[in-house]
Amino acid sequence: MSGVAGVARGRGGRPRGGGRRGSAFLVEALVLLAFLVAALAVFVALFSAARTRSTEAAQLTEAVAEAREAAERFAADPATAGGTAEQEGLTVTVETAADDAGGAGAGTLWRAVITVRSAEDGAEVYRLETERYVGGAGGEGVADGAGGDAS
Amino acid sequence: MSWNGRGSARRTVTTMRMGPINIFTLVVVLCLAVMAVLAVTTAQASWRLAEQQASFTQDDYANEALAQELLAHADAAAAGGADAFGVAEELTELLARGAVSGADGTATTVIPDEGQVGLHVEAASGRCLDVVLAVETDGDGAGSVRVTSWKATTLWDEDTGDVLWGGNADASTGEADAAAGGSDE
Repeated sequence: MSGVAGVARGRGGRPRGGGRRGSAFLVEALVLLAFLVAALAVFVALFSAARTRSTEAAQLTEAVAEAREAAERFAADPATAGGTAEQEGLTVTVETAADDAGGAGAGTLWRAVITVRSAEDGAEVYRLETERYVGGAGGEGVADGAGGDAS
Repeated sequence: MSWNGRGSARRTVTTMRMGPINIFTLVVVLCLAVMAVLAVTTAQASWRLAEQQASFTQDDYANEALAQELLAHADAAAAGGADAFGVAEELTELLARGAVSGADGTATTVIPDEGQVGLHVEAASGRCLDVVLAVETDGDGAGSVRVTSWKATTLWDEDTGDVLWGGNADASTGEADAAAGGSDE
C-alpha cells in the first residue's frame, strides 16, 4: 500500500484544504485593508489638524511682532504713525487719536489702536492698544509743563 | 469536515495566523500613530507659546498706556504747582476714583518721595512697569515732570528645587587641604 495519503477532494476534484486557506487569506487581507484605511483616515485628519494649528501659531507670532513694531513707531512719533500697511500676508492698521490734556502747560495724550488682520480673509489676528504722552514743549519722552516756553 | 481512518468525523478548524504582511502593517500603523501624536502635541505647544507671547505683549502695552496716562495727569498736576507729594496724592485719588482708563486688572502703586514720584504698575500676568518721575518746580509756582526711569520687568518665582551644587568654596578648600595632608604623609 502507498504510504502517501491521498488529498481529500470535494466535488469537481478541487482540493478541499487549499480552498479554505485561500478564502481565509482573502478575509484576512480584507480585514487588514479595512483596518489600514481606517487608521490612515484618522492619521490624515490628525496631521491636517496639526498643520493648521502650527500655521495659526506662526501667523499669531508674526502678527505680534508686526503689532509691536507699529507700537514702537507710534511711540517714536505719534502724529505720523497712523495708517495701514501690508506685510508678510498681514494687514496692520494703526488708528490714532489725540486728546489734549487741557490745563496750563499740559501736553497731548495720544491713543493708538493697532489691529493686525489676515490679508486673505480680513479676520482679526491680533489687537493692541497703547498710549503716548507728549509734553507741552513737544519733548520726546519728556513731559514739560512749562507751557511751551523754551527754557 | 473530514473523515479519519476509524470512520469518525474530524472537524477541521481553520485559524487566522499573523503573517509577515500583518506584522509589517502593524509596525507601520504604530509608527504613524506615534508621529501623529508628536505632531499634534508639538503644534499645540507652539500655539500655546504664541498665545502666551501675545498675552504678555498686550499686558506690556496696557501697562505702558496706563503709565502714560498717569504721566499726563502728573504733568497737569505739576503744572498747577503741586510738589511731588501733591502729585502723588492727585494720582492716588484718580486711581481710587477709577478715573484712569486701563487701570482695571492691574495693581498700581504710587510711591511719593522727596522730589520724585514712583509708579509701579503690575498686570495680573506678572508683567510690571516701574516709573520714576522727577517733579521740578520753578520760581513761578508752575512745575514740570521729567521721566528719570522707565523699566518694564517681569515677576517670576525662581525654581530652586533642582539645585545640584551650591558652589561652596569652603568645601573645595577643605578637599585640597585633605589632599595635601595625604601627600605629606
